[in-house]
Amino acid sequence: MILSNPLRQQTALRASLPSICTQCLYNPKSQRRRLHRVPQLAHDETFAEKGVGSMLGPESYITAWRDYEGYLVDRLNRLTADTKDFTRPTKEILLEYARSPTHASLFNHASMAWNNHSFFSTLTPTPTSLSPYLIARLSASFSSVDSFRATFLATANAMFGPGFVWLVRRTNHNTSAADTPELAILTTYLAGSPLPRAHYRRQEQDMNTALQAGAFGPRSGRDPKIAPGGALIEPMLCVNTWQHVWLHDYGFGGKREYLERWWDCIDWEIVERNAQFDAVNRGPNQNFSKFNLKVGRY
Amino acid sequence: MIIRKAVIRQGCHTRTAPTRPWIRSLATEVDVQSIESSLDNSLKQTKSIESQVQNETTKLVPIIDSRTHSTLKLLEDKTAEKYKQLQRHKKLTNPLGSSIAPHYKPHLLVNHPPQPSEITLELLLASQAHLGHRTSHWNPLNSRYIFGIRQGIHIISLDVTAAHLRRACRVVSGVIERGGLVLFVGTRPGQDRCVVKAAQLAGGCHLFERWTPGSITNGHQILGNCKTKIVDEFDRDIPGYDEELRDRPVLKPDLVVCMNPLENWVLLHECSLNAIPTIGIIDTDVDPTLVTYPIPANDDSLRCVQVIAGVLGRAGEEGQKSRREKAMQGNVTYTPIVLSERVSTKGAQTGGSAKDIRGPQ
Repeated sequence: MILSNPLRQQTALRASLPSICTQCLYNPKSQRRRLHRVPQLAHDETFAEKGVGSMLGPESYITAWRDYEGYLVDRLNRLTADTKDFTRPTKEILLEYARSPTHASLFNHASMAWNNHSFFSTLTPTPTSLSPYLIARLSASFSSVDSFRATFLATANAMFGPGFVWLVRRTNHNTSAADTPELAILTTYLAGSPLPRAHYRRQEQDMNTALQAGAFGPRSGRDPKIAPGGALIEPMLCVNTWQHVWLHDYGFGGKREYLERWWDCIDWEIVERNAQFDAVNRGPNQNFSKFNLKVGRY
Repeated sequence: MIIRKAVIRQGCHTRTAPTRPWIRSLATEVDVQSIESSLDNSLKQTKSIESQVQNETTKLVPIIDSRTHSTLKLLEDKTAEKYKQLQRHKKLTNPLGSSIAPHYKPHLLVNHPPQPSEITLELLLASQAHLGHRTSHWNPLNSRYIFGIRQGIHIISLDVTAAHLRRACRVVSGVIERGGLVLFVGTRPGQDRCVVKAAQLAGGCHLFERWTPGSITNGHQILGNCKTKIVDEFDRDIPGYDEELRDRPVLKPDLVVCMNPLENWVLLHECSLNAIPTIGIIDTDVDPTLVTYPIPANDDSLRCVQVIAGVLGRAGEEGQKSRREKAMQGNVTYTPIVLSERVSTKGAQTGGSAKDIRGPQ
């Protein structure tokens, strides 16, 4: 076929196009749906105006929550686009891909989004006090609330590198057995998850210092009968020790002060609601069904 | 001990002989009769008590904890409580991480279809109900339902679709409220699930395979062997009328809802011959006079068919509920059939002439 003048050919093509420009209707970028969105916190506006109590200023809060969670959610959308996980909740994504090294990035972002939301959902602008029931439970596991606080903050302070520290409750706890306490402190490095089904990526130890002679095996102190992560635990409370949260307000050496100020911003009602203590041991009027069962009241 | 020795000594006799003779034969040697009989009695008593106890009480095997190797006390079994805790834990932790925007869930549309009150133009648009066929394939009788032309196809007016769909819902619920039998038909691949679900909700019948021509006009031949039953106003079976049922004519539906009238024109023609009203999804290339109550919509989109079938099924469910409530109040919404006391045997005697087969009318 002999090609005529290309300019003439272009004009011929243009004449055949409809007058309405249809190309902009099919631009995938403008029509791309983003199903994962930043969740709405109960105290979001208060935090953005006045900061989180004495713990974080408003700019730090916006960086640590709105910007960072927005970044994580955007990454989730991009990673799950055109896959079956496009509409799946974040927790399901992280549980499915906890054992998959090829989906490590997807797990990391999903787990980080889940952990970050858990952390911010337990914060309150007005300080709350522990209920007597919670004090009793903490004292049973840690001998007193002060010793629990000291242990918790010391653990968080001693962790080198970013991560989370959790207060967890063992669900298979036998009330008669005194050797394993009901509540425990769990550390997760980077984007490790405390959820039992994602035990493969719990990342509770710094592997650079954890591997030594006697760390594994029958005399290592690890329980040989339960599979790793087999203990069913419920996370109740956590602190985010990633530097981007506290660096702006406290500097590199201010981790300890950040942790101590965080203690006053905890919403203990939500912490108690997250755990499901033995209904038998509760009082007769401990009916929690009237509470909204979602973490963070949104 | 004494008895066992006696049995061994008298072994050959005890196998064949009943108990009495060997007791008598022992009477001369050892006076064990009284002891033995008393022991027998006590044995029988304990056995009878044991069997009574076993029959009355259920034996529970204790569960052993695999970790501690101790038996768990059954009164402290917390399986149900643990399950509730797990459900509550899921409810607390699943929403964390990100909030998912509302989106289309195909399984929900089939298993939990929308109510007639939830018919909106947005729902119909999202279900592609407005997409007709190319303009050259249209049926001009459908011009009143068409909004316009876009990219070579006819676009159906969704407000017209919504109005016709609501009318069809009213017809379905009205028929069922009066004790009618509705047949939901959808013979294209993929329409089976929604058609079955709609029939379940409405308490009617479904068809997703090919319609056998003559099932209404030649019903006694094709469906003559189908089982029928008689129920009262509370839908309870009334047994004992097999003779009358054998003489009665074959059941016909009181309303037919068809998802693809183009392929099922034979069924719809049979319905028109027997004065059975029909509802059908009318696309731009389908003849609207095939059905009594057309619903102008896209019959090629499975999602659209699922929405329409689901909504009509829900309307049927409402009709059933209304009928049952009225029955509870003593108001029977239909004319019950009269069962004659004289059992008709004409069919059996004459060999089945048309008049006899048609039955009492």
